[in-house]
Amino acid sequence: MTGATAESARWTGPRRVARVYGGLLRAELQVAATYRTQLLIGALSWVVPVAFMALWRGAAAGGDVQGISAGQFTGYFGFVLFTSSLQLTRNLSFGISPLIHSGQLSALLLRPHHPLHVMVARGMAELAYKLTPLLVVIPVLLALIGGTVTDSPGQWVLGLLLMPLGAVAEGYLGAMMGSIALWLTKSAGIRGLLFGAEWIAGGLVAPIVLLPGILPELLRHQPLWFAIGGPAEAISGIRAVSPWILLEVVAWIVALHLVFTEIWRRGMRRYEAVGT
Amino acid sequence: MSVASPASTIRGGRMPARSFWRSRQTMRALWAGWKADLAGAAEYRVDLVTGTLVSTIWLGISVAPVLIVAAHTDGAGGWTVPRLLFLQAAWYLMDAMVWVVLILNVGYWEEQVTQGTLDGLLLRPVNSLVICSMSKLHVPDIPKVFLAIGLGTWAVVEGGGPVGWSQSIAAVVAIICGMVLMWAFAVLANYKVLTHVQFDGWSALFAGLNLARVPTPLYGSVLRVVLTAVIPVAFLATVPAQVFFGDVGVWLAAVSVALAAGSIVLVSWLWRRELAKYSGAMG
Repeated sequence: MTGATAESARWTGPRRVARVYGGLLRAELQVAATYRTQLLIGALSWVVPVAFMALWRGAAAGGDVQGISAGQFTGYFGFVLFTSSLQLTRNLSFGISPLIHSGQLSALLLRPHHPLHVMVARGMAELAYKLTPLLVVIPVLLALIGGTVTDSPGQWVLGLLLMPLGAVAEGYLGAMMGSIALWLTKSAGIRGLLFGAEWIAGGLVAPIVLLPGILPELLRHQPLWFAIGGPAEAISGIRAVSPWILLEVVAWIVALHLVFTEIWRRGMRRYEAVGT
Repeated sequence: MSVASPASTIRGGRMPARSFWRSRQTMRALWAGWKADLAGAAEYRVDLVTGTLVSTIWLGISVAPVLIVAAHTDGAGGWTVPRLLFLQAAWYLMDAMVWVVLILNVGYWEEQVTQGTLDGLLLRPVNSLVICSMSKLHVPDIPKVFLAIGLGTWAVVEGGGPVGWSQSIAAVVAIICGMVLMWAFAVLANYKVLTHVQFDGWSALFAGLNLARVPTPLYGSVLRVVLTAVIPVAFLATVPAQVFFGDVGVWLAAVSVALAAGSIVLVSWLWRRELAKYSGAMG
């Protein structure tokens, strides 16, 4: 692998990226269709938010917890079930290492686009099958056990806009963690810690407003919360989010893009292409 | 070499002796495999340190919801904080079972079937199910076991000590049975790979494990019955905690034993039935 080839595999203009994604998504959707049952089972097996929904409903059974009712907890964790399923972090964080071991990364580097586009497109194709059942399951769940949502259209719009932007920001974090494999091939444990951070800082185990001290105010300004808990808090009415948050998340995406580009460039210098 | 048929073996009254020899041989093979893994891990001490660090962080993450609940209320649905912590300790032990034993053995069945390497394991003169599902240890995750015991001890101290000897012994028995159930779940979720080759039952297994993080009574009346009587998720962590704190009778530990014994019989039978259909044509 020459340095010039590796250097050519970098982010390019938006139109070119759109064309690349058009082609990649067509191919990956066909592949995902083959494994649709497995993807469906995988989507319905993600029950962690349901478990914490039960815990917090139990805690709120005797009265509101910090002003959050049992219904709001239900609504919150119902949307967390959706937002946590929306993330491509797993594909990106754990996807690079096998490509290095198998030698596939070398082949992907020869393509005229960044290798991560393939992983992102694969993840997006899988989402098409994973999210569809949730669009039915979540409203039914909320209706059956009494989940409440905000009646503010503004918060709905903000929450729905925050979901994809937050997912992009968290995707960059996943890609950065995945890039560790370019230096340390046996680093699955360390890379898994991003998911641990997601549980606390993302609001997967509890709305961050319930965390002690200044943590709620701090954690409201980072990508994991934008991706997981932020949209759920807005839509469930636990706490209103400001429209400025959209600018904040865009700024994060730009910063993370720049950092990731640098990490990848340095990683490519270390890459030895010894995979078989 | 002459091989007696199972029927003639039973008729000849040699079955118990053969079964005993086979069990002994299986245990020796199992121990030899574990010793080799432990010796191998000693050469990768950095992995062990990293594993301990990562396990500690994950334990903190698992306990965090309980601590956040404790910061705002006395508990959840009648479950006090020490009870919730003890449940987390039992749950973390089940999680350790998955990562130390099951992932490295059952998790590789698909690959072994595809590459034909499972045949080598099946030819050994030992219990194939035990060897195929438990012969390797993922040593870097072993600290999880000690962390779980530490958390359990903390929960007991916070709760004012054990209720009584019978409850404590019954809880230990219930936890051991929970681990047996965990093993049985893993085999049940994956044994079909022998004939289907491409089969992933892990998502179902992890769904069950994740539901066990929270006391099953908190899921409401319908799910509580489902998670106790239909899919015995309650017996992984909820029942041991309830038994330990005397919230239910110690007789529930006997139910755990019956369930564990039943699961061993069922899983062994299904394994043998699937093996009969296994072609060994891959690789």
